[in-house]
Amino acid sequence: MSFISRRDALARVGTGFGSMALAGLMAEEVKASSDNFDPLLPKPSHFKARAKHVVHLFMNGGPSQVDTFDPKPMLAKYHGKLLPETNLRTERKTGAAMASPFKFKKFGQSGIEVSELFQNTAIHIDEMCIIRSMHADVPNHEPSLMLMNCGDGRLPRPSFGSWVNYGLGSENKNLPGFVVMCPGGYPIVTTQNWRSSFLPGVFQGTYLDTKHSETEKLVAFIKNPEMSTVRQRKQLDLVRSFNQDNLIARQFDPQLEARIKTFELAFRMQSEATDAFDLSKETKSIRELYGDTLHGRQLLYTRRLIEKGVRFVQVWSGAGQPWDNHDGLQSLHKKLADDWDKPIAAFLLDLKQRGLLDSTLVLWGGEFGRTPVAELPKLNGRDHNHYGFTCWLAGGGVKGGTVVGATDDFGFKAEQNPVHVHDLHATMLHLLGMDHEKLTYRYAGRDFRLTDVHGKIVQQIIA
Amino acid sequence: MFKLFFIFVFFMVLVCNSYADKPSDDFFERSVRPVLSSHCFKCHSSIAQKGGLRLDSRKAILEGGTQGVIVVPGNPASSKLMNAINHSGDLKMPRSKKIPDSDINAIEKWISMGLPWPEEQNNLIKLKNNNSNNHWSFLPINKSLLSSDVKLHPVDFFIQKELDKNKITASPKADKKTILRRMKFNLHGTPPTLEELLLFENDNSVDAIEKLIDRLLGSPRYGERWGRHWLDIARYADNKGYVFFEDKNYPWAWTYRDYVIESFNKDLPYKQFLLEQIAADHLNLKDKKSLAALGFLTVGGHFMGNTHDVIDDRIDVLTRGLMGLTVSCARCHDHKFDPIPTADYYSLYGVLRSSREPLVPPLYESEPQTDEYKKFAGELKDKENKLADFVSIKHKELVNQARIRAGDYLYAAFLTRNLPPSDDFMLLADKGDLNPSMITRWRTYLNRMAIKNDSTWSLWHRYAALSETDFSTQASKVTSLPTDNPLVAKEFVKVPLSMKQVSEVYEKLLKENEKTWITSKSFKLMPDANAEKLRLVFYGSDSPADAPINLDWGFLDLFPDRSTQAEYQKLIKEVETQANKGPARSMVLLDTEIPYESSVFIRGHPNRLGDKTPRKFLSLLEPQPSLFTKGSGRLELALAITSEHNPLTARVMVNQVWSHYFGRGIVSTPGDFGMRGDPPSHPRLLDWLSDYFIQNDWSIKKLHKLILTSSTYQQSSNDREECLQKDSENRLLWKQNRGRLDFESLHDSILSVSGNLDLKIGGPSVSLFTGKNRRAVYGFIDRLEFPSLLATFDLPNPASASVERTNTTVATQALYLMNGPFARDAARKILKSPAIKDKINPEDKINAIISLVLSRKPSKSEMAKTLEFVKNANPDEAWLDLVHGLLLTNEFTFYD
Repeated sequence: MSFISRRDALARVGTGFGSMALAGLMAEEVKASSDNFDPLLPKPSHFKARAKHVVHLFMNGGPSQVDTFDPKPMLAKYHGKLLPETNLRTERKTGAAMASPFKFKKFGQSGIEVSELFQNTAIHIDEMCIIRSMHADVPNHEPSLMLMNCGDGRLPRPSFGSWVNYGLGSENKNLPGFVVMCPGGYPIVTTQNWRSSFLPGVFQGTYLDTKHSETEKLVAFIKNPEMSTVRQRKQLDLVRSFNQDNLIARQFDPQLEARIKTFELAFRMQSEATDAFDLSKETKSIRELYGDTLHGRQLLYTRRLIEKGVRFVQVWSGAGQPWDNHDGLQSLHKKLADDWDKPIAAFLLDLKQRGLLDSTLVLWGGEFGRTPVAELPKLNGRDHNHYGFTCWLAGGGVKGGTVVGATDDFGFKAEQNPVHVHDLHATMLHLLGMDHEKLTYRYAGRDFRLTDVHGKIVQQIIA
Repeated sequence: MFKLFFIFVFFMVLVCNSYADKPSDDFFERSVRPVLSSHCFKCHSSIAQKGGLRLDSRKAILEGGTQGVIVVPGNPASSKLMNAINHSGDLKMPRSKKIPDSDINAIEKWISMGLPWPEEQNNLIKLKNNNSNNHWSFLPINKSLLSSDVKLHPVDFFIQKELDKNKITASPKADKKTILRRMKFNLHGTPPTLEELLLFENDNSVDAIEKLIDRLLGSPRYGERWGRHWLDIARYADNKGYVFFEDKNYPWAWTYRDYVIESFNKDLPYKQFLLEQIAADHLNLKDKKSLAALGFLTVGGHFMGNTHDVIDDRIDVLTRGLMGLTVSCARCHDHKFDPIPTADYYSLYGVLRSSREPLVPPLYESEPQTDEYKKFAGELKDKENKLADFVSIKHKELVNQARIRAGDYLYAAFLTRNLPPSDDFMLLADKGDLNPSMITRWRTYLNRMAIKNDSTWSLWHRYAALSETDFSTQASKVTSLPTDNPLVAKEFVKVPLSMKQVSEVYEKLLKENEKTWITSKSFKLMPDANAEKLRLVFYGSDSPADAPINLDWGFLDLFPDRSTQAEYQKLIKEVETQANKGPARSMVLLDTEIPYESSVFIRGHPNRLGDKTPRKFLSLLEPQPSLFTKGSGRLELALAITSEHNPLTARVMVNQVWSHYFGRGIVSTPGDFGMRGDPPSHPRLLDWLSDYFIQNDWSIKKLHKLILTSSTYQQSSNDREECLQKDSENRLLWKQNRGRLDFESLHDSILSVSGNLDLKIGGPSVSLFTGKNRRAVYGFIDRLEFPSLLATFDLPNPASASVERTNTTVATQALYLMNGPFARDAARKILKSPAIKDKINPEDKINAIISLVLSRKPSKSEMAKTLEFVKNANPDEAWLDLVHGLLLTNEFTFYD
């Protein structure tokens, strides 16, 4: 929970008659309460929202679409041979076609084919919308991560999560609105992936190193290592009493009041956060459902956070770029998918059984996909591919059991109904009840958007 | 509350949409213009008019081309244009490939709508004529003098005038303690000690305040405080952000930081301060250390090595940072609101593209005359030479290969003509491969030649337009024209069988011609004009073969094979490692040998060149600008920015200074003095102060003193109900605004009261919170992993220039102070201070603690509750909790 000064709030809405009119309104409300300056209070969406929360499962490094959610029988036919057309240029040199070593099978009523790598996740296929025609701008990790997370490949823009929190506020004032989990360190380009950039710092992602499982290690400064809660309460009461005298002498300045409140909030946040990460509060059967693994734990945290009203949770595969399998793809992809498959299935099931899936938008995907052709010289892995890749969405407002778009016969390039990352952002914002063209922030003389000057809503995704 | 935020959102929407006048304009910009510009303009616009047709204005479209009218507004079915783009008749446009259906639908809809076309240019001109000529900030500074019968302090005079108009009175003067505390935080960023307070309170001389101001401005703490404000604008950080090969750190960024601090301390005239920061290398400065000033331009991020973004950032810091102009908005299109055409942006681009950082910058201080240094310098030189040799050999190889393998490159350019562009990302290649960036160069070159209808390449393009499957039959129908270069035409008397063959023919021709020229040994222009044209393909200024070499700007793109890159990386690292072992260096920017001739990048795309843009100043500020002629033109740019006739520079700085004293500028949008910025609350005051600033030799200290001696500054910050009713925002300054310590002040204050603050000045950056206890301004700022703690405390992200900080009050700040070790450790230290540790009597101890932390004596009730707090508690715990708690209070964190 936080406060922005009235002046900042005014500065933000721009100029001219807008601020004049506001100044008038503010005059009426100025004494109302220091809550006036809280940028994290829940805000009404532009129109009715289909989802209230976002969970982004980030397969960093770039999972291969033709080995997961985009079956390409033609690849098997061409295996070991050159494709009929010149390979598109990607980061490295590529050679002949490489068939997927994984078997695909139809799932659910919709009969959508998914590879054995995600056979448990695929049980929920009728809740999922598979976008097979994703495309991005370049085949390099750094700019593609930036594009997926911040809507621009290079320029310092705020992250998706911070935009969503800026737009909608948080439903739980005792927890951060944007939580980022990545076990064992940062992905590449590090904290820029969840920066608030020119949005106020309060909107930045709060990073948790989920290799730890104790709250004190997960969340910085969540507990005073040398004070009991009782003792701290006593201390804060003394502080409050000093502050109260100070406030009275200064005739209730809202800035002062706001700061007094943050200490009360911080105090409550300690217990709330501790609670959120205390998995012993879950039943044994739930813990078993998710599995006592890294991703099982990450996703169980995620569900608990969503349940408590956290707006945006981003869960990464791991530090660096785990899915970046230029060689040895078969065994490496298998291992990565095995780690994720059951926990994701459990997570979706659990959201569903608690009625949370309807209000939670789940996004799965990487910063790009991989080439259907083998990378030279080892020929047992795939290069980066931004021309075509797969992401899937599930939950709030998403039309389940559908496939959107298609790549060419080999899975190289998005051909039918291409969906750019900007379009994905626009559509997700739409599901959250926001018009991506109206969610703007004035900075350096310009009204910035997550989608810059791009983005169209992909209706086929929407239920 | 909800209502309020809803209104915020509502107004944001209103404001941001105001430029899309009509929905049809919006539709045009979104769905039609992109189609026209990406598929049609190449042949039908100001650059080329194939078939006598232009499609870049409504008028031109209605006029049609040599084939007559092409569009009937409101009737797509009768419009030839629709047949052409549908490929449904003989005329198929664009020839290469049918455009996507969605684009065709958009054009159809647009024709049905009657071809709405928002006249962007006209709008801008209209805007200019109607408003911008009279826009306050573009007009000269009003230099009217105050009449001699004004008895008030000039600041108070202008403030009072507005207050009178609104029938509000100013607040009474604050008490001495408040004034001292306010000034200490404003000028030093640290709290006064109790002794300091007593001394000041007991000084009853008339000029007590003036003496205080002089003392505070004379202390080095002043430069540290105000230097930090400047570093926000300069987007200071100690590293580059994400980079691929080089070292990520700026090991000598601190030399710039120290330059800034010292400049404030010695009151370097602001004009000179700016001149040095933009063009110190041109100024023959006496003090060699002043070269570090150029860090202003070079200390920004590296944007993953993207040249254009680095330059954009530099343009931004110069224009938004110094003049409140959002020039970088004009990177892709003319500025939507201010009279800043794209051409102006690229004029500045030319200046900055003609300036770059040397790999090994000059020494910060004078060269040590020791044998040890000589040895070091010799080793460094060797390593530099090794790198330079490597680069020049590689470059020569590249250019040679591009000539020797011209046919391969031509053919590759042909094959990739319809592939998505791959020139703006990093590719990896093998040694011996055709070089991808060179293929792109050839491809762009061929496109340029097509547009120019160049006689040497006209046949090439006729062949290239043929279908590949039926090439030889169709090729036999291609005849040469009188306008073709006869030397080329001669080679194609025999019909080529494929484009591969066409490429080979060209290669042979170009190489034979080259041979003739080389054997002639004249090394001058070739006598035959047509032969000369062929020679220029290899040796002309825009030859695709002759890629310019530049270490910083794009070397890696030219050598995308891993082994060359690895070698390059190794050599660069060796130089860097060696240089880092030696004395500090200044992060300079130097002119390149040959200035860069810039052109507009159409829609910001570096491969789509528009009109040439000579290096010059903004036309808005200099309607008949003289072209820059001295090298890059940076000095001329610096002079234009700091000219007294420039209406913005002084105003913007005065506004900055003012905002630090009152929490808000006279113009509340310090980074936007343009048409959409906020108008000044006190325009005459701003102008009077700006003029005063210039007249007083741009002395920042004099400006400080003027503001600090005003009653407006010294008044109380308490609310008054009747004034709140009339001016709740305190825009009129009927009171002073209460201030909250920013991150640096809070950090330094906690260390200061605990007696831990190390007051050493300058030197390499240190990690904060590691017990070094230097002032926060000396902390290492990591641009790549910008610490969330700093962001939590509103330290601006150094990704770009920050002209104002957001001011948030959030629970995570409280958590840090409550639970983090920083405040706790300071509290422990305080308890050990000599004034406190020996006090046995609890009352004495409390007295000493409160004096130290809050610079005052406790009140009776405070004494009572504090005694209560420590009574019956574990003494080790309670005293620590007490002191720690006092550091968390609002009293400690705000100044009135």
